[in-house]
Amino acid sequence: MTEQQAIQLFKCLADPSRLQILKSLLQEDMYVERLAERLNLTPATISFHLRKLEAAGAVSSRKEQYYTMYTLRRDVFMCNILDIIREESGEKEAQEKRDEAYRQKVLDSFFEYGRLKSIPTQRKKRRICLEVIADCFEMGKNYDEKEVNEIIGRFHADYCLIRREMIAEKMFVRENGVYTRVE
Amino acid sequence: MEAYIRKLDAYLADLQAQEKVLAEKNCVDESNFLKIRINIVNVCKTVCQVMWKTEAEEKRAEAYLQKLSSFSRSWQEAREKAEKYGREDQAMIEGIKLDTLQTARNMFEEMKE
Repeated sequence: MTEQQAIQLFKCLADPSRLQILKSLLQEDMYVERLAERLNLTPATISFHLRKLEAAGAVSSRKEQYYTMYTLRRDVFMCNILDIIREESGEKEAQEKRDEAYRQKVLDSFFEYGRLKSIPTQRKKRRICLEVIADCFEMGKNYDEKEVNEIIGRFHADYCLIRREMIAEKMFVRENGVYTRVE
Repeated sequence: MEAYIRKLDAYLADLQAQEKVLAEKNCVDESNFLKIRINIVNVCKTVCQVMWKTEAEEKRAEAYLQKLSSFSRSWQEAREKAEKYGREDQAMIEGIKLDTLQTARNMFEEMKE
């Protein structure tokens, strides 16, 4: 079940009369007039609710002689709600695009000709800039301080501050003067 | 006219009480159907009051019934069109309007007799 289908189903179920219809159909398949009599609602109202339920996939219908019989779609209700929540959201892709657009905007603002114009004061922006510098280092490789300073120095003169920030952001670990790029 | 208006008011009160119960039970769709009925009764009430103010005494009843007939024709056309294009929910709404109008009309005609 997709996220959209789940939303449509949940909205449809959020009605006492529709729930009563489903409870009745759980017992047996029924036609409109039978449901109307059982639930003390007009046939027109029952038909209205059944249209909603059918559109949401909760019931199906079939012609039987003079009547249209309605059946509860048990397979739909066997679905685990946790699985629906886990379902990949269409919104996720849009969020990722927005995140990427924001990231690029930060890089465009703070980098010029491959050099960092200034170190952002806002942590989120600073981290994005530090990630660009960190990408120049090989994952898992050991560097001495001189090497680290030289690489950082290509981006900004204040390599000490940047080096300390990268450790604080857990992009590097330092032990006995040896720096290692970490995930 | 006063007696008719009182009858419409009693009908209105009954519809409003039913609507309140349904709204409290979160039966949103059915509550909305009742709201449509309430609106139609209010329309009939207003039209009747206007006819009594603007028409000559001997023409009032006829003028009111003619107005109700013109509503009925219009809503009947709308219902047929909705049915033709498979817009079942809209057809249902027009049906509710027509049914309520007929109830208000019947009340008026019973009082006339």
